Amino acid sequence: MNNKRWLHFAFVFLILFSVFRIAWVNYYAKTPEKHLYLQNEKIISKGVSYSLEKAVLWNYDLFFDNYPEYKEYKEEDKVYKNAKLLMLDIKVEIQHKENVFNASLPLKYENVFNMPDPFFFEALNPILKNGIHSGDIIKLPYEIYSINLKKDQWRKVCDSEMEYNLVFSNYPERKELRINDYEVME
Amino acid sequence: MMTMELKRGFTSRGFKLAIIIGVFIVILQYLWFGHHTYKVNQQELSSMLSLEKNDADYGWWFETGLLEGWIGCENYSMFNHIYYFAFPLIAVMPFALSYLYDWRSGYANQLITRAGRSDYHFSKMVAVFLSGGVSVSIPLVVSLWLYLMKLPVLGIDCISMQSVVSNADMLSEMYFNFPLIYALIYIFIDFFIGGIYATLTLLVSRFSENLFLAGLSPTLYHITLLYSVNILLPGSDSYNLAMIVNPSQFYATVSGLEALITIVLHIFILPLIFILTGRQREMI
Repeated sequence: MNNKRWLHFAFVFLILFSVFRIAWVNYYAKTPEKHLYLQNEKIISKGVSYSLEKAVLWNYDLFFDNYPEYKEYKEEDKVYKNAKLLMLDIKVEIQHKENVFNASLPLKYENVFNMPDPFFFEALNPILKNGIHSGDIIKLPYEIYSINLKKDQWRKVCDSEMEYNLVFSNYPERKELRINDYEVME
Repeated sequence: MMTMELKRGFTSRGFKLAIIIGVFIVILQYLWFGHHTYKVNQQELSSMLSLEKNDADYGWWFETGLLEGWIGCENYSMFNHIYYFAFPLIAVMPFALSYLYDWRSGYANQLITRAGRSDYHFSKMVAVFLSGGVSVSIPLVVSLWLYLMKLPVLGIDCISMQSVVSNADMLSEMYFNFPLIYALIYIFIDFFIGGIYATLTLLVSRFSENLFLAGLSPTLYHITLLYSVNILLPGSDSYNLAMIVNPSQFYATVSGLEALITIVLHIFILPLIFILTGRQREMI
C-alpha cells in the first residue's frame, strides 16, 4: 500500500514537472520579432534599402522564348516541365557606408523556398560587375516548379492567387516583404 | 478470454523487452542529439549574435523545434534508421509468437475446449495486434515527451533547410505548422503498422511451426518492401508499408488517402486470412 502511494506521488510529480517544463521551454522559445512589409514599402537591411519596382510572373517557356539570350539557364529536365518564373525588379539604395547587399534572398511560398540561380542572376545583372550603386535596379529570378507543390497550391500559382514572401532575415528580427500583386505573362 | 489474452500480452517478458530495447534506442538518440545538434545550434546562436549587425551572416539563425529532435523525424543520426529497422522485431516481441507456443505446449487445446475456437482466435488476434502496436508506439511517445521538455513546439521553417518532409509530402501542413499534431498522428499510424506486423507473424504461424520464420517474417516483409519493391515498382510508395511507417518520409512520395487505404486493407486482409485458414484446419 505504501509502495502504491509512493508510485502515485511519483506519477503526479512527473506530470506536474513535465507540464511546468513544457510551459517553460515554450515561454522562453527564441521566436523572432516579426515585421511584414507590404509590396510598396521599402525594407532596410544591413545598410541597404530594397524597394520592389516590378514583379512579373512569367510562363517559364514564354520567358525564354521572349529572351532567347538566356536560354542556357533554362531547366530542360522533364521533371521540371510545369514551371513559372517570378521576375522581381528591385531598386537598391545604399544607406550606410558599411553595407552588405544580399543577392540570394530566399523567396518563400507555402512551405517551399527558392533562391535565384546565381549564374542566371549574374547574366541578368551585368551592371553588378562594377559593384553595387544607389539607384541600381537588380533583377531577381525565381523559378517555381509544380513538382514542389501540391495540386491545389499549383492551381493557386496558375490562378495568380499565390502570395510570395521575400525573406531578408530571420533572427532576432524576421523581415519579410509580401508580394501579392504581380503582372502575369502567360 | 479477451481480458486474459490481453493480460498475457501486456505482461509478457517479450513486451517488457521490446519496450526496453525501444526506449534504449530513444535515449541514445536523445543523448546524441543533445551533444551534436542542440549544442551546435546554441553555439551558432551565440556566434551569430556576436557578429556585426551588417555582417552577411547576421540574422540567419533558426531555433531548433520539436520535430528536429523527435526520433521519428531526426535524420542527422542513425537512430531513426535503427529504430525503423528494428520496428517489425519490436512489434513481434510482445505476444506474436504466443500462438505457436500455445500449440506446442498444448495450452491452446485447453483454451479452445473451454472458450471455443473462434473466441480464442479472435482474442489472440486482438491481443497480438494491440500489444504489437503499443510496443512500437511507447518508445515514440517517450521520445516525444523527452523533446517536449527540451525543445519548443515550433513549426519548421523550410528556409532553415532542416526539414525532412517536403511541401508535397503527406501531412506536410501539419509537419511545418503543427508539429505536435504531426507527431501524434504519426504515432497513431505507427501503432497500426506495428499491429499489422505483429498480426503477420500470427498469420505465418498458421503455415509454419518454425519460430524463426514466423518471428522474422515481418522483418523480411519490411526489408523486401523497403529495398526491393520500392526499387522495382517506382511510384508505389503510397502502397508500401515500409515507406509509410517512417515519419521522416525518407525519399518517399506518399499520398495520404492511398496510405490510409493500404493500412486499412492490411488491417482487414491479414485477420481475414487468419480466420479463413483457421476454419479449414483443426490444429497445427
